[in-house]
Formats: sequence, C-alpha cells, structure tokens
Amino acid sequence: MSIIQSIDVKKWYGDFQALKGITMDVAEGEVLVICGPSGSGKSTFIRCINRLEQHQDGQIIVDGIELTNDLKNIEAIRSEVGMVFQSFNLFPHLTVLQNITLAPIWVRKKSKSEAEEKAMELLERVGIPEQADKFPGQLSGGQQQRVAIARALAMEPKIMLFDEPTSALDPEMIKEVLDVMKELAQSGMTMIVVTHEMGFAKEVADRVMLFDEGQLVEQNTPEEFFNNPESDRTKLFLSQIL
Amino acid sequence: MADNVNIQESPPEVQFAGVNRWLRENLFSSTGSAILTFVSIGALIGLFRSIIGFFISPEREWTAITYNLRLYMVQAYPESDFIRVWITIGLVMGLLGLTWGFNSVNEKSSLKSTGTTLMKVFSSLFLLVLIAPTSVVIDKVEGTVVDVFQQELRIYLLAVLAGLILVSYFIRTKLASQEVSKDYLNIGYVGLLVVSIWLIKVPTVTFDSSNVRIEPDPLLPLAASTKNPWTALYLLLVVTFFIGRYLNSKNLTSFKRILPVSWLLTPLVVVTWIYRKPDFTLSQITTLDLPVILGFSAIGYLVINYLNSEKLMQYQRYFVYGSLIIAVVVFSLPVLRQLKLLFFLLWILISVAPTIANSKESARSLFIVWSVAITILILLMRGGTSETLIVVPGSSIYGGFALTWVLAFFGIAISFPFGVMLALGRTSSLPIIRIICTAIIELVRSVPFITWLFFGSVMLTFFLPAGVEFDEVVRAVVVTSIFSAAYLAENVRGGLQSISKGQFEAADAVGLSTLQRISLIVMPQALRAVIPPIVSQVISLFKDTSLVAIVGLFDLLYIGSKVIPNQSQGANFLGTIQENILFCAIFYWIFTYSFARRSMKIEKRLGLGER
Ligand SMILES: Nc1ncnc2c1ncn2[C@@H]1O[C@H](COP(=O)(O)OP(=O)(O)OP(=O)(O)O)[C@@H](O)[C@H]1O
Ligand SMILES: [Mg+2]
Repeated sequence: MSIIQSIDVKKWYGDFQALKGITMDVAEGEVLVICGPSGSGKSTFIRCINRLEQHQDGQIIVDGIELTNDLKNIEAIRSEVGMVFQSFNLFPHLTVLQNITLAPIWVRKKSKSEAEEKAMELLERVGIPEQADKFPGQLSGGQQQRVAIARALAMEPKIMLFDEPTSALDPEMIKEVLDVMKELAQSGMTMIVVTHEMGFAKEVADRVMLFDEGQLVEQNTPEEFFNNPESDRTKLFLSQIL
Repeated sequence: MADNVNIQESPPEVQFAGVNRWLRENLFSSTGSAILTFVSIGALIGLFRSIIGFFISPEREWTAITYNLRLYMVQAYPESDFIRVWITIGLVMGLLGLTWGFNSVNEKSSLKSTGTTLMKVFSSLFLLVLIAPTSVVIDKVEGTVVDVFQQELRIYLLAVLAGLILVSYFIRTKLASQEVSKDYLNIGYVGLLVVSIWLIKVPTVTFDSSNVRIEPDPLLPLAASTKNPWTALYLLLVVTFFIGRYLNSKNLTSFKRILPVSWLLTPLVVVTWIYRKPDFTLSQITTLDLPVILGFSAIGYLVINYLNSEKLMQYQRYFVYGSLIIAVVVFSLPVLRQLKLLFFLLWILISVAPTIANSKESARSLFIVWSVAITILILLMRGGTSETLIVVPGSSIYGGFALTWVLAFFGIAISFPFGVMLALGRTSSLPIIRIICTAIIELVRSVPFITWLFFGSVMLTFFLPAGVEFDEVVRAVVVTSIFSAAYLAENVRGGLQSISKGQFEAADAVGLSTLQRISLIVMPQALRAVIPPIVSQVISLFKDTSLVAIVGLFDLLYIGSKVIPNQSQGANFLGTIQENILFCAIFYWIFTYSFARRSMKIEKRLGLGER
C-alpha cells in the first residue's frame, strides 16, 4: 500500500518546465533518497507533495487524499507531512520550545502543558533538551536543524520530507543531524530525503532515485544504484560526486 | 596534571581608568582637539549663561504660565464637570496600576545605576547654578543692568547640591551591591513627582475683592488646585499595583485577556464620560439593555462552545458569510445603534471563535471576555448616545493639552490597526484588495496634512448622509488617524518585506492557517523590525497635532502662541509670547523625549535573544 502516489506530475515556472512528468510511489515506512544535479527539480518535486508548490498537470495522492486547490485537503495533508528545509526556517522571535509547540497548540488544539511535554520529549530525542529556552539565533546550525526536525515531528506526521537538510552545515555538524535522521528512519517513519550525502543513502535508504532535467531517470535499491547503475546519466552523475 | 580544560573563565571587567586618562584620551588627544575642547567649553558656558539669564530675567512674566495652567490643560472645560475628568483619569490610572502589577516581573536593579543617574542630575544642576549669571541686561539700548541672582543664594544652592551629590556618590559606591525592586523604584520616582507638586512653589497671580491684581505675586504650590486629586490618583495607582500583583500570584489566566480588552474600551469611556453627560435611567437599563446583554451573551456562549464541533466546523464559512449579511442588513434597518454594533461584533466572534476557543479553558475565558465586553459597550453606548452634551463657550469643549492628547492618543490607537490592515492589503495576493489599499495609501500620502484637515473640516459633511454631523474634534481625529495610517502602512510594509520567504513556507508546512500565519509568525517579526520608524512616526504625529489650530481648534501651541499673549482682562499678559512658546516647547519635549526613552527600552528588551 503506497502512502504517496505521483502520477505524471508536471510543473512549469512560466515557460520553463521544471517537472516533466514524474510517476512514482512511496510505500509506508519507506526511506527514499532523491539525488540529482542542481536545477533538476528535486526541491520542486518534494515541495509539490505538501503543496508549497502547485503542480499543473497529473495527480499527487497523499495518504488517500488527492492534492487539489481545496483548502481543506491542503490543510489535512500539511498536518500529516512534516518538512525540514535546507535553511532551517525556524521562527526567530520564538524560543526553541515555542517553535516546537506552536503548531500542536494552534493546529492540533493541544493544551499548552501537553504540547510542552511532548516538545521536551522530542528535544530529548534529537539530543538538545538543554536548549529549550534559547532563541534560534543562539544555536549552532546543527542544533537549529535538529530543532527544525523536532518541530516537524511535533505534529506527529506520517511522512517527513527533507530538502537538503545538511547542505548548509559545517562538516562536523552534518553527522549530528544525519544521526537523528537515521534514528528516525529506523523507527519506521516514511521519509523522502533530497540529499547529496551518498553515505547516508547507502546506509539508510530503501530506494534511491536520480532526477535530471525534471525527469526521473533511474530508481533502484542503493546496492544496485551505486554498484550497477543502468543509465549513462546515472554513471556520469555518480562519477562526478563520488 | 594539566587537565584543567573545563575551568570557566569570567570575562575581564571593564574598569574606569580614571578621570585623567579619560580626559587625555577623549578631549586632549592632540593639539587640535585640545583647542577645539577649550573653544567649545567656552561657547557652551556662554550659551547656557544666556539661556539661564533669559529664564531668570525680571522681564519674564512666568506668571503668564502659572496663572493659565488650567487653560493650557483643558481650555474651557467647565469646572463643575471636572469631577468626571478626574473619575476618568482615575479609571485609567487604576487600569494602569493593575496592568503594571499584573505584568510585573519583579526585576531588580542595583542601586549603583540609580546612584549614577542621581549623580548626573545633581552635577548638571550644580554646574548650571555655578555658571548662572549674577546680573542681566534688560534694556538693550540703555544697557540697564539688574541683579537677578544673589551670591548668598548661589552659595546656598551650591552647598545643597553638593550635599546631594555626596549622598548619591555614597549610594553609588557604598550601597552599590544593594538591590532594589525596579517597581518600587518607579513608584518612588512618581511619588517624588507628587511630593514636588506640593513642595515646589511658584509665583501666581491673585486678585483682591475689587478685581485688582495683588502685588507681589504670592508663591503657591505648582499644582495648587489639583494637588489633592493627583495625590489621590497616585495612591490609587499604588494600591491597584499591589492588587494587580496579588492577582498575578493567583495565576488568573482570564484576567490576562480582560486587561487588553479593558484598555481597548478605555477610549470609549473617555469619550462618553468626558464628552457627554450620560443620563442613565433604571427602566431603560432593565427593559432594554439587560435583555440585549443576556441575549447576546447566550448567543455568544453557543457560538463559542458549539461552532468548533466537528459537525458544524465544515459549515464555518457559511456561518461567517451569513452573519456578515445579517449584520449588514441589521445595520441598514432603523433599530437601536447598540444592535447594529452587536451584530457586527457577533460576526467577528463567529469568524474567530473556532480558532481561539480551542480548549475548554480558552472557551471559558473567551466567553467571559465576550460577556464583559458587550455589557460595558452597551452601557457606554447608552451614555454616549444620550443627547446632553456639555455646553461650553468656544467652538469645542476640548482644548489645550487635553485636545493634543486626545488627538495623539486616538490618532495612534485608530491608525495602528488600520495601518496594519492597509499594509497587509497592499501586499495581499487578491488584486482588488491590493488596488484599493494602494490607492488609499497613495492618495492620502500625496496630499498635505493641512489640506486633509481643511477637507475634514469643511468638506466631509458633503460626503456623509444627511443629518449625520461630527464634531470638529471628531473630524480632526478621523483625519489624523487616516493620515497617519497611510504612513504607518508603508512602515509596516517595509517590515513585511524584511521577512524571508522561508518563514512563510515554514508556517505553511507546519499547517498554520493564513490568519495564524499572519498573526503568529509574520506580524510579530514585521513589527519588531520597524519599531524605530514607527516610534518616530508616533512622535511626529504627536507634534503635528498642533496643526489642527488651522481649522479653529485650540490646541496647546495655539493657546500658547495666540490666546495667552492676547489676554488683557484680569491679569495682563499682553505680549508674553516668549515665555509661552518656551513652555510649549518644553512641554512637547518632555512628552516626546520620555516616549522615545521608553521605546528604546522596549526595543532593547525585544531585541534580546534575537539573532
Ligand atoms: N520560483 C521559481 N521561479 C522560476 N523558476 C524556478 C523557481 N524555482 C525553481 N525554478 C527553476 O526550476 C528548476 C528546478 O529547481 P529546483 O529548485 O527544484 O532544483 P533542485 O533540483 O532542487 O536544485 P538544487 O540541488 O540546486 O537545490 C531550476 O532550473 C530552477 O531554476
Ligand atoms: Mg533544491
């Protein structure tokens, strides 16, 4: 049973076609890594999944709900899909704890104490409970990204989207974020991760995909993908980054 | 073992290296700067000498101000109705005390900073007394010199001030580590102000039975006729402060919502109680007001508790549109004004209740707020719509500082929400709203304020339905707030633009609705970013209120520049323009400067921990 289904999804920015018909699906509990050269439409595609971008043709069905312009559907989807951004996008005027409890209180209508309890649990899980009362600006990049993961998890999503979560980080901080993501993958979360961390892909992913020029070029298990790439495009890409 | 890596070092303390070194480094670092220092010190002394000389010269009629203080404050407001002004100020004071106490964080401050402040103040006074001129020239042509400042007085004052400086130095050094509550310190400062209106005596003008001025002018306390009410108000402030603190310690969350609502309602109290003579009759209240209040409370209860149920939630938008249509229909019907307003409020309640009343707790406090608010509103409107205006000589009952204050306060209070809405509208993605808001902003900004004042004064009546007339003051308030809203909107828009796209996306991604995104994420950050321009806008609004004199209103400056210098009956103050203008300038300065100081502090506090 697939939790995300994408059928021939197309997307244009003006005259420029960013997605040229993406058909794929993601099973529940699967960890999917998307890689590909810059400008190939990776971000555009995963942002379509929680409708930060609108696709113009084709269908996206998330957890049985089709993404249309209906506001109710969009809100339903967004509370089931967590997203972690390359540039963290924490709310700078709120403390770490407030960042995490905001959506549970206002969207999920939880009581403040309940939300805070859950938030502390999550901070524990990402390893920074002692930073709860600081402001985002007082944290290191790696810590900020872990807060962002906790913020997304606080909504108890079924699916987590990661758009290059480590590419704005210094090398020594990348590991702490990847560790959190690995733990999350092992706990059975459905994840779509856009990343250039091939080590992470090899170790954790169930499937790896290559995007190029708005198209899905190749998808396979990590072993096959890295050791036996089918298309020339994949071989070229791998030779460039490995 | 050299294993002491974990020792935390404290940062080195910055020490004051001594007067000598400071002087050398800052004032006499080179020959050029030494010359500059001497010259400017000389020039400053000369300047201050002549300013002080101007103030204490016997040519100055300062009694023009002390005698006319009431005119300055409230112009022609009838004395028999002063009690209502005091009651209103009392209400505001009480609310202020409650809010202050309720939000008090028990901040401590060391006596060192207090001592430093006091020392600065006393030393400046000491210097001023030291350089004050002994005599001044009063007749430029003849060169007549009169003594104005006896040496004995100077020495006496210098001794007193020196003593005070020593005391504050003692506080600064010996008691430096002592901590005092900031709240008590502030209560103490206000207390000092109150004491000073009893102790500081100034010359005033008095008349004997045949209306002849008695010379020499007797010395009376600064606020001779208002010192009792002010003292009572001060005590009220202190008492409500402690009540507020007590309530805070009891953790009353609903009080947290009642306070801002009460502040929103104070302008209405001010208007209805100072502007009109409300005549309440018991029968009206029991047969009309009470049923309306109970009815709308009940409707509010249903809305708050049942509209967010699963079943009704999906029809939410129909409820919102439906109630808006009802409100518009009711508005056009010939019914009580109270009902017209209430239906609009109900529409707002229906739109926001499902979002705000998300738990049992918040539903209950929202209900309390709703009921209290409509009760107060209905009673206020009963007072406000009664026709018995106070009759006064002159074009308007407001004048003097009261008018300046009313214009500034209402101008800011109304323009703020309006400006924020215009800014949001101008950045909206809906083209109609965007065009309308842009048009309003550009139209208002591109015509001078004075033109708009004239417009409000002479042309507004053409645009209003027949029979509707506004008082001159109300028109000035409307014009002021619209004008300032347009500028505010542009400031806020600047703030909106400073917010990155990522913030919007993050808010969307966690599932916030549009309204929540704006009120919880976007606006708080946008407003924080534009505090400095907003503060300077508020300051300039406060000063620009003096322009209303042009449409015949008697504001503070007009009284100072035109009214008092022309007084010849009773006391003769013909031509006392210098004193009055100076007084007005100082008055404006005190208000704007303390406002600027306060906002600097707020800015510092908000900036803390950010970025
Ligand atoms: N808002 C936009 N307006 C116009 N073009 C856009 C916009 N966003 C993306 N594009 C274009 O769409 C294409 C795909 O962009 P996308 O951000 O999805 O690439 P990407 O695969 O995530 O690349 P990167 O690895 O650099 O993040 C790019 O060519 C980009 O220039
Ligand atoms: Mg990208």
